[in-house]
Amino acid sequence: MTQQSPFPHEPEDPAQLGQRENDDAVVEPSETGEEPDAGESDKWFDETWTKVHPLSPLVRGWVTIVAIPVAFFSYNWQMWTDIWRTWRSGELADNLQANPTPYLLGGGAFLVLALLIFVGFTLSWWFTRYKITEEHVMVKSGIFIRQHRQARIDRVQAVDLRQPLLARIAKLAELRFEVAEGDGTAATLAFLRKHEAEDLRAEIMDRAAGESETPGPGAAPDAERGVSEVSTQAGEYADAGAAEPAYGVRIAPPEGTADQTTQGQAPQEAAPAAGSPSPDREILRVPVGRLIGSVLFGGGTLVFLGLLIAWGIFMGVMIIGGALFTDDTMSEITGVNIPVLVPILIAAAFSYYNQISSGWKFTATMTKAGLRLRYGLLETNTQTVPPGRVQALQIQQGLLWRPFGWYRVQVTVAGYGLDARSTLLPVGKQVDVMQLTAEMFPDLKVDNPEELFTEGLRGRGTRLGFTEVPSRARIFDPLVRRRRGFFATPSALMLRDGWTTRRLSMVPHERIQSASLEQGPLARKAKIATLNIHIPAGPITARAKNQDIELIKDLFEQEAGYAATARRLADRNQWMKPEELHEFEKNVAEVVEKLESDQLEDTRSN
Amino acid sequence: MLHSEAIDPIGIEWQRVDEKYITVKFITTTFGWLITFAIVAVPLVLGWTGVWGQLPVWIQITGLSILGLWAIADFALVPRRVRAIGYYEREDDLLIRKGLLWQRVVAVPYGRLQYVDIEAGPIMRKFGLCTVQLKTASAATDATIPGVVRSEGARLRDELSARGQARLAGL
Repeated sequence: MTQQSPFPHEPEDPAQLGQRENDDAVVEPSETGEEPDAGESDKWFDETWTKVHPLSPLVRGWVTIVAIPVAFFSYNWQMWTDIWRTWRSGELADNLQANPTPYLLGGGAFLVLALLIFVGFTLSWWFTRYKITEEHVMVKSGIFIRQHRQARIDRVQAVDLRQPLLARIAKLAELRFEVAEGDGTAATLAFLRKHEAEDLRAEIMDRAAGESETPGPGAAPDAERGVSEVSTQAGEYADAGAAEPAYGVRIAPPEGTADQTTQGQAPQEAAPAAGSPSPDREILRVPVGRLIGSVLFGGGTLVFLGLLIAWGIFMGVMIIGGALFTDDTMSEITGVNIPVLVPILIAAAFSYYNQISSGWKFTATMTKAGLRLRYGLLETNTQTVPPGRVQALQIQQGLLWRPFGWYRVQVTVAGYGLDARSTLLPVGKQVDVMQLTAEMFPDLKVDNPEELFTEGLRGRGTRLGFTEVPSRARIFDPLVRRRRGFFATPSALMLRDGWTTRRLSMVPHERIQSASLEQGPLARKAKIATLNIHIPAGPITARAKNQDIELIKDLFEQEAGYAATARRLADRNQWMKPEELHEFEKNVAEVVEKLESDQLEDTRSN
Repeated sequence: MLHSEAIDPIGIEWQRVDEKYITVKFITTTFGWLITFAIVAVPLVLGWTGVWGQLPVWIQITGLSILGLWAIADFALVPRRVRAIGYYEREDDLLIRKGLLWQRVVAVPYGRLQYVDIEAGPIMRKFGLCTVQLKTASAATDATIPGVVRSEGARLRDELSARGQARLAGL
């Protein structure tokens, strides 16, 4: 009953909402088949498009080159050893002279295969081009099925620079531009020379940050200070070493030699206050020892141990049973069962490797463009997450991490989805967590943030204003009852949950997309309800389960109100374009008034 | 009108969807159950004709009667379910409620709307109804108002779009 619409969507209609987010903000994969760009020109691209580095297909496709011969050789191993032997004995040469056809055919096939791979690589290189315009990053690729992706620069949520092993050797890097809503469909430039990629990243990040090269409204820096009390992001940002976000900053050519030159050190000529460049500050690094420890004591180990124990019990039963009831020897039984372990071991090895690799030499540096994370064992990743793009943050502690006081920090950034990249800190002490949170999350605006934080991480019960599942609803959550609760600070909602794995999720009020209140029949009897906070897709589910109905209804009203209004205040930061800014300034005053009057009402009614 | 439930915000007079949607719902529910019964009938018929082994009679009877009771309850609840759907335009957001046993109230701020969709299948069109669907940057939002009269749907879309434009807050 869904298909045909009596009211067509009318994307041309300027009043239609989709325009802004839908039409060009999103990465648009458009498959035009073999018809090149039917509309404007008959050529798929012209000379304004840049080619990627010629080695790119090799770096990307090296697996094919290695895998085909390996598969070929190993599959025919017996044959190859035979050939080797016949060659040694001189039999091969005789054979070749007598009957050369099969050898020629084989050699020819091999050459054709090599040629095919080479041509494929060359073509794929030739047809992959990119172009950076004032507003968009555009990538075209594909030989037969052509693809055109574009990302609006001012909608860029985060930029990643990835270097797989081979790219590292060849000094190449891949750039990924993450755009809101573009789950897994970011615009990817692979591969560029590393320094080119870094320059480009710096430029794009600056432009995404709204620091256009044309001077913006002169009043901007003043206005910035004017609203900084309500504008948490901007305030946060200024604290984070960004000096004064100034419009009219020119991107200076990178200086210095270290590999972190490009971004943080672009001198800010126009910066009114600081004058001197803001240096990159290293916030934390993860020691290798702690990383390995954290992986060994992580959730994977619990699963692995569980499987091992299950297998051990099974084996025990089999052996005892076998000894009691049959004449089979032990080796026969174990011989049958050991292969079962192999896939488990391989899976465990992979999982451990992934975890170690994604945390290896993990450093977090605060730069002008945002938090720069670097990590990787064989392949290195550098990702930059602007604080203003963090939708929610979650701190988590597995059961085995408790004695060490370790935590993991994850964030929701639109476009990252469930990716491993959403990990802001693979493992760290509470100090690290606090520091990171201070940089990446708006100020909680309470007097005792540290205490509150600790309570959220480890506490239970109703201390410091946290809620819990009411005791009349004990049956719903017998174990987690006293942990499951929330606390709303003036700027963010803190959600506490988890009995074995403790979780503290925090969502800034102004990031909430929408909220829903849910209640089943039994919950109605117990006078409890569940509040769902809707944020973009990511590793974090923001939900306050089974809370007292009156409390949760108040929270629902409050969050709905915040989602509707407060967001506009915090949006005011350097991530806006000048004209957006202007429009925005107009709204702010009116909203501030409204919020203040609301608060007055609240205090009166209390 | 709709009487207020525990999770409904205070002071809300829910706007109910059109009564004709009950008829639509009866039709779609009938189709749904016909398909279910057709699927269930396959092994039974095969059993009776001897292609498959026959299930014990008591299982057949209890299974069928449970399914039958369920279908009857489902039909009986249709009008109440439809009457439990409501929406209300507040100053800054739109509230939508649904559900009899499992109730849900969702608040979608106008500023968060990315687009408003209107859709209607053949049955809905026959009765002059449509479904209004609201989308935000979060996939979890899941805010739909089924069974709205077409003119009201168009009005809602325009209204929401206009309000959304005025309060647009993107991500």
